[in-house]
Amino acid sequence: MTGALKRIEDEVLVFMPESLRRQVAQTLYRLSDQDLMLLSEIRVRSGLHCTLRIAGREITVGDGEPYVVSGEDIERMFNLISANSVHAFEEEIRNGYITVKGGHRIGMAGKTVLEGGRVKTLRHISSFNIRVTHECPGAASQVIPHLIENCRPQSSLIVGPPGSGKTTMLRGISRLLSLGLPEYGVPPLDVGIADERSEIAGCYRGVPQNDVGPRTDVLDGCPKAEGMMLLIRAMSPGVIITDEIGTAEDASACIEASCAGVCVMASAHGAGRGDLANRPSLRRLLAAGAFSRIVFLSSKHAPGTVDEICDGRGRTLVRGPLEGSR
Amino acid sequence: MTFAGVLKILGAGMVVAASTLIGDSAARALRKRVEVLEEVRAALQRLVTHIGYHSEPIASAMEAAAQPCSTESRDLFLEAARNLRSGDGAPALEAWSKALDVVAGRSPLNTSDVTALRLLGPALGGSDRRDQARHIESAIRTLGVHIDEARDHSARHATLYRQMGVLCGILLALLLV
Repeated sequence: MTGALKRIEDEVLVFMPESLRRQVAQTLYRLSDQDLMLLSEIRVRSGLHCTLRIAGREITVGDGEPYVVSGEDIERMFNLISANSVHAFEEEIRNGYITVKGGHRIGMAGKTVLEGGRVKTLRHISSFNIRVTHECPGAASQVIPHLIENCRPQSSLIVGPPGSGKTTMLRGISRLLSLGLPEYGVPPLDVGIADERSEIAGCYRGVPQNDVGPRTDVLDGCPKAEGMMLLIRAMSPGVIITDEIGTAEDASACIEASCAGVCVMASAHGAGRGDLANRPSLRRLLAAGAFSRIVFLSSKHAPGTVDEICDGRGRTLVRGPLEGSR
Repeated sequence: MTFAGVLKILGAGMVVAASTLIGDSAARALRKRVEVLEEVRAALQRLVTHIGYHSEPIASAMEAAAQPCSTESRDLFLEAARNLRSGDGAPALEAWSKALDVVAGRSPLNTSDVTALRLLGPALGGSDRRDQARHIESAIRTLGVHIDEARDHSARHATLYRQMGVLCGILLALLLV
């Protein structure tokens, strides 16, 4: 059994009931090692076929006949994912996903229960989307030289559409800065991650499941703005990393951190310069000079493709594509 | 005294001893029921803490709650935790009911105690922390009633069972001799 297959079996298939697990395992056994490394999603929907997504392709699960997922499969799967303990995953269920051991994210959809106009919980779950994570050790190696000036990392904003590899790149940056980059004169730095959605470090019970470096502290599940301030006060990091900033509070926290002399590495949704200019909070951030580098990502060639790197004033420093190694 | 006489006295003594032991064991079972119920109640109180405040998954919460208990009550929670971990996603109700089926038979709990504990099953693990705490606290209150009743029953009947054991033994010995 290959390493990738063993990892998927141990960390992902354990959340499936026996009947479904057998079918998915049979389908996985037929895949090549390369396909297993590119497996990004397993979709499980009540009354429908279970499918695997591999580099844009879709493979239907089944040993001969496509397997139809039953309502009982879904119910049992939810019990396995939540360890029969809705109370232990209240916040995660409210957000629509649970991060499991290995850093994989299991998204779920069903009937929402509202309280005061906000989602209180999900009931009658009908589908799951398991997003399988893979370590990409070299994800930031091509970009990092452009984010360093005078032996110091510069506050940077990674901009890209969903699925373009922003989080993977932030994880790579965290790992590299935490280890230090002697070739660029950067010593090992203490890194703090404000990981509101458990995506960067993929914490399971507070322990990072993804390699984010040996000098990295993770504040898991904490709102970004509050988390950044808390990290500065409590852990005095040299670098703060956070994902998907967008609100006015996030912008204020980034400006505050920059003023405190901390390097901020953050990501934001957007398909290019135009999207960045259209978002008031990001516009305010750039106007305040909170970021010295802006990296534009896309999935043109592969997730993690760098289209352009600009300085804080929008002047192009590097024009891509630099292909990502995701 | 003849050899037959000695044998009769020895036999009578053994009958009285056996009967006393039976009475004593019945009295001990009454006390044991109180002890087990009290331990289960204490474990449920710890379960409220582990679920309501520490937000632990139910299986590890049950294992932690069972730690200070002695045999029967510990077995109940550990068996339920084991069933939860190996249940292939079966509901918590099933894990709890199976544990009660296994443990209740060898414990001094009576049918009404087991029924009261079984009522906790459908609520386990299926709601938020506050609701879980509410359901477990409700089970704790119900157990409190059972404990009072068991204590009262033990106080009234334990001495009676012991005395009856001795007296029945003497009576039987006299009849046989």
